[in-house]
Amino acid sequence: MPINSSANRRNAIRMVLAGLAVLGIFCLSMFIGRYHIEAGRLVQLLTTAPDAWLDHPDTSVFYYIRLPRIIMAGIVGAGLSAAGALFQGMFRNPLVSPDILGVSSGCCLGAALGIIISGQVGMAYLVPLLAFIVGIIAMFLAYGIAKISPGDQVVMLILAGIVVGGFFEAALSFIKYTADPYEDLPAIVFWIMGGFFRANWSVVLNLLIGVLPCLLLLHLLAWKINILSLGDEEAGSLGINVKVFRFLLLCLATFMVAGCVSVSGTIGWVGLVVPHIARLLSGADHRYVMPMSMLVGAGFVMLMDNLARGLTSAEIPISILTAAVGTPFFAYLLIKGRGQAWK
Amino acid sequence: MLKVIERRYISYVVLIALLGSLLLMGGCQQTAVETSTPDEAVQARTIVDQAGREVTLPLEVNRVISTWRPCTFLVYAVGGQEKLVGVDIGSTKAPFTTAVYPEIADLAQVGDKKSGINVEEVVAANPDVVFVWSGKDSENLINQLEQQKIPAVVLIPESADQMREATLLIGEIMGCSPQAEKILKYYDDTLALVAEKLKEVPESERKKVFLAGADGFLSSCGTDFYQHYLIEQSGGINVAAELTGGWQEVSAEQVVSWNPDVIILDPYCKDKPEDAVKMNPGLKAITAVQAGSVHNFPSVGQWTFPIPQSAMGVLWLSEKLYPDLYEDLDVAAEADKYYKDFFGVTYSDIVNSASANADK
Repeated sequence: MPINSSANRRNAIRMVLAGLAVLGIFCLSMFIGRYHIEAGRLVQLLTTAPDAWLDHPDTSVFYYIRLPRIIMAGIVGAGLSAAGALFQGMFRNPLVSPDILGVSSGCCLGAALGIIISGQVGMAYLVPLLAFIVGIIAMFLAYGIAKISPGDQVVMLILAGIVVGGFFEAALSFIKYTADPYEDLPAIVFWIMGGFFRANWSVVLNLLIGVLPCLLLLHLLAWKINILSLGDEEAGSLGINVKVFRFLLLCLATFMVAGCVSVSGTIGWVGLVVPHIARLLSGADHRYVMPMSMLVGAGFVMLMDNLARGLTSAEIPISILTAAVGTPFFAYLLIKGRGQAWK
Repeated sequence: MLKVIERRYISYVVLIALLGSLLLMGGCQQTAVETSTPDEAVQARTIVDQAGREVTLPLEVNRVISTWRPCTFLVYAVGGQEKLVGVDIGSTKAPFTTAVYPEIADLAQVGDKKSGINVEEVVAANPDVVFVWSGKDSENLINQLEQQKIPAVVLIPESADQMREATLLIGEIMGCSPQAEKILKYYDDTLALVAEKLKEVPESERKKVFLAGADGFLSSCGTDFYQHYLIEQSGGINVAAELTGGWQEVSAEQVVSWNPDVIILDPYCKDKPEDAVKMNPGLKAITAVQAGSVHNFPSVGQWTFPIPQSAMGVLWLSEKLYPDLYEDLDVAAEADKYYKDFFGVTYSDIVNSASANADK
């Protein structure tokens, strides 16, 4: 990997541009929604003291509903995309997405359990909590199975992930089959569909505490992902304890993905497509792919959520939008032979 | 090299600074909420909704949002449709809702149970009260509405008793109690009339009914759905009573072994009976198929919903099961009179306008 200062310079400029674009999308998002708030009024309110705010619906809608939702979409987008970039790099496989180790299936199962267990009102916190825990359990199960299986660890991990994911999906289907059709079943189906309508400040706070440090760590460790992506033997010969390091990175990514999915439900295609876009913009070096994925992911999901909540009077499920935009773009990348970064 | 690294962090710093400042704003704001007190409590009353929550409402409720279909029909049942300012997706196009109150077509569609509710749309419609369902996912919606100082009333019209309770509650909230009581009285009287007629049919001669459900011809439901109650009130025996968990797929063999006397297709059943029999010739062995006792439940008016209008569903179904008992009663004329009395339009007019729209 030649270290070339002009390439570094180019990447740095692109990174700043991407950052500015995300900032722009963020500002744009503030003005999008079914409740019409005039731009001038919003600016005026943002510049006055907060305690003069809440009495008017303009501001309470903006502050309690729209703003946390935009931030949540941004963080979840960044988290899923960074995890996708990590998994694709680590497994040296362009088709891998963050749910490859069964984390999403685990989260869905956990959420369904939470919905069944929780009572009528007041126990809603159980749902994201169980989703998070079962999502993490899924990853450890997959890792454990791979660990005790002979053979190439990377291949075994992917296979074990498929096994665990399949099993958890079966368990989920069983729960749906036996669930109460009035109370539980619609809630489970609705939860799995995913979206950012549950956004509030406490969700955002949890996400910031849980996901932001993971994003930073991933960014700082990105150069080691470069080494891991050379393959186990070469990475080992460069003095890295491959197994320990892979396990640490997996834990980090799983923590992040489970954190995102447990509050937003499953959101398809982001973790798969965004890293490819990032690689297109910044080459194969993970020191750039990683932050670029986060920026592109945050911007992409914020944009899609603008459509989800602003396009029609009802909500459009976000996964429909991410897939409708993500898949044609992915096809374009394939046709254009942009997989070169994979050699 | 150092400069390059610094540049790499610029985007981060920007992002974190932004999020951090927003978070700080969040902290300030939340304390502000706790200190503010509602001062419009002068003209207010408190009701208890069906989830047992105490809700404070303005004395006069003039702007109402219904978030799912059966609830919208309940609002119509008590005659409160003109106070609607937002409804579920699709109610703006349903034949009954549009025929009775065409203005519904221009109302905001705020979402539904399946795709969720767009809270911004709800706030934009500026409602006095929002009726929400009691699914476990509605808690989040209720909290969001509370933050916007919009009262949410949970309704659970699933069983017949809950439906009565919900109808009365909606009537009370919207100032439509007289019609709520009147339409419930008609419901009770109709069910009593049917029960009276059914006394002539001994238990051993009751017809076995298979209800082909919303998931296709080979699906049905057991005791936990209102449809089961409708069949029982009509004097039928639901062959699928043992099923639990709402609509469930059943095998053709199972239906043959149940051997129903009558097959009823739910309004939401997309299959045609001829196709189902063609696909599974074994179904020809069923008494209902041989006797030609296969009927489509009327699709206009949602008579299978847990709403007072389902009285017409009981009447219709009972007549199909035991036509001899109803020689003195013209069900179609009764439906026309009922809809004319309560909604100002005859039932056949609604059906005709629906088919006219479908032909367009």
